[in-house]
Amino acid sequence: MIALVTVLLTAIITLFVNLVNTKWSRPVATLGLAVALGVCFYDFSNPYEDASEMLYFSHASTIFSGLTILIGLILIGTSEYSITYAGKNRGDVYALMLFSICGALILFAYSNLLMLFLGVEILSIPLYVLAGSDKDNLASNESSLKYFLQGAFATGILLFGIALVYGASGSFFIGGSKANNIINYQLYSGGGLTMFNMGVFMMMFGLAFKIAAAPFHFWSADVYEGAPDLITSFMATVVKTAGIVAITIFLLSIGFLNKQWEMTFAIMAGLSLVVGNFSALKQMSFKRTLAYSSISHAGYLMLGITINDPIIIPTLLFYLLAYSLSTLVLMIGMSWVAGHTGKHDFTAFNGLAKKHPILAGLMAVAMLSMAGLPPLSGFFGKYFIFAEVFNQGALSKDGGFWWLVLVAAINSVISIYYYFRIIIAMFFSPAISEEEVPAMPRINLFVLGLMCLGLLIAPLFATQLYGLMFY
Amino acid sequence: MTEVTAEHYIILATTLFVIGVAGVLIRRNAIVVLMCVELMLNAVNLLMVAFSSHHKDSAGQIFVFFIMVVAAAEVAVGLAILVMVYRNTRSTDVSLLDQLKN
Repeated sequence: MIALVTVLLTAIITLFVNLVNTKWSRPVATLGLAVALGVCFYDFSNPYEDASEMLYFSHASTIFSGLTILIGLILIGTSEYSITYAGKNRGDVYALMLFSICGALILFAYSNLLMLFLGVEILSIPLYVLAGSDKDNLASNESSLKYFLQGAFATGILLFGIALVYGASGSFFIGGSKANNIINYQLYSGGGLTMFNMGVFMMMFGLAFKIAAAPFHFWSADVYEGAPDLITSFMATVVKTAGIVAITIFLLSIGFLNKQWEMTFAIMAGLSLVVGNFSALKQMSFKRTLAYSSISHAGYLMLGITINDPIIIPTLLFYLLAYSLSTLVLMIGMSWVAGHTGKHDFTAFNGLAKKHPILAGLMAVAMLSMAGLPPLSGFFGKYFIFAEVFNQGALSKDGGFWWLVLVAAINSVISIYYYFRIIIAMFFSPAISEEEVPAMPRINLFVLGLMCLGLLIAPLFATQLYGLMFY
Repeated sequence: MTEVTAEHYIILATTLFVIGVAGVLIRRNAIVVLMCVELMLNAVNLLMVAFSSHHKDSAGQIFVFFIMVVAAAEVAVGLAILVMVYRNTRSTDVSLLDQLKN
């Protein structure tokens, strides 16, 4: 809760600082997020409830908050050049990003459907504006309008689902200390199960839309491509994390009723994997490839959700950490190159390794982690999810979802093809672009280096991670 | 005269909601789509109030206030986006926006 308030105050202060001097808005926002990150560590003692028991700050929610604030810190801290499109309004962009992070923090801690709804909206509404923050760019306009119309539609469906769940159960609490939560009512009355299931289905529709899982992924490629690079990286990391965690909290809280949803999630996971990967294969634009690859990553995460056991939380955390760090390295690198060549195609990266070997090397490491090659975190993220699904399958009579793990493994091999295209472009293609890409500022390169180091050493700490999270 | 029960409200709200969904899917004018989204949200409001009275529980009506606030925020943002798009394209037709395709 203290972290949430810190981020909120930072956002408001950033807005005012921007009025005084635009140049100060980035240091102020960065500092505020750093403080919020510190507060998260400080907060990591005892789980507690807040806001009339509608928010439950467990260890897991604090750790996910820390991850999100860290992502925001990295993005805003390194945004000195990627923000230039916003001109004098850059403080507004930072403030909206911070407001959006507040929504994510609510989603990590909700134990009432009202908070779920408010969290989703606080997360999304600033993003509609942010996607269109490059006001004179038609692509950005289009991405904003598409995101807004489809996002509002998904919100409507989510709300109808919440209303049906409320109708069937008479409560908005999904667990926590309240006795009259949606499950208990179900148990005692036994009625309205059809309505309850229908409601859960519609809620999942709305939430799956937010994380861009197939078959609700249609908006994502266009929106990711049209939005400014800074905002695309924000959407691909923070929104995905928040959406996945929100779905997980809800499904874990409805517990045994979740059994009948496992197959639905398995099918959605399989579809996301196949659709994301096969669409990514034929893209010419690097940014669009990353958008489709993020759909397939949503597939791996959904595969984890089928497990239906709290053990999945550290597994998802590890996967999201690896995915977010590598996405950030790639996006920040791409934003630098595209900002100077003016295009997001693979050809813009031709011969990058000759001129800027360090940048190319770091991007290659992040690419290998995304593709899931062994010593890096991306591999272990996938491995932990696959292992959990297999374990769960071994316990159940029908073998669980071993076939889905097979699909996922095949897909991760296919994905190597498009991940390697960028490496081939950087290291083995002769440079053709006329525009000279200048060297990246040292401090940004240093941050990218730290993230790659994180990708390398994170697997060493995986056991500790499993030890510390629990409700 | 038959009594009006919760089922009647469910049917009415669902009908309104389906009209809203159909409008979003069919209409090409962004303003009409926005209005249809509002229709969906108002169907939800009606349903919430009906269930609230059915369960004798005030939480549902409180929820409606939050939906109204969020809907107002959403419309403010949506109209601003529409004005921005209109300034650049001189149109509010969604299907004109197809720059982003491969």
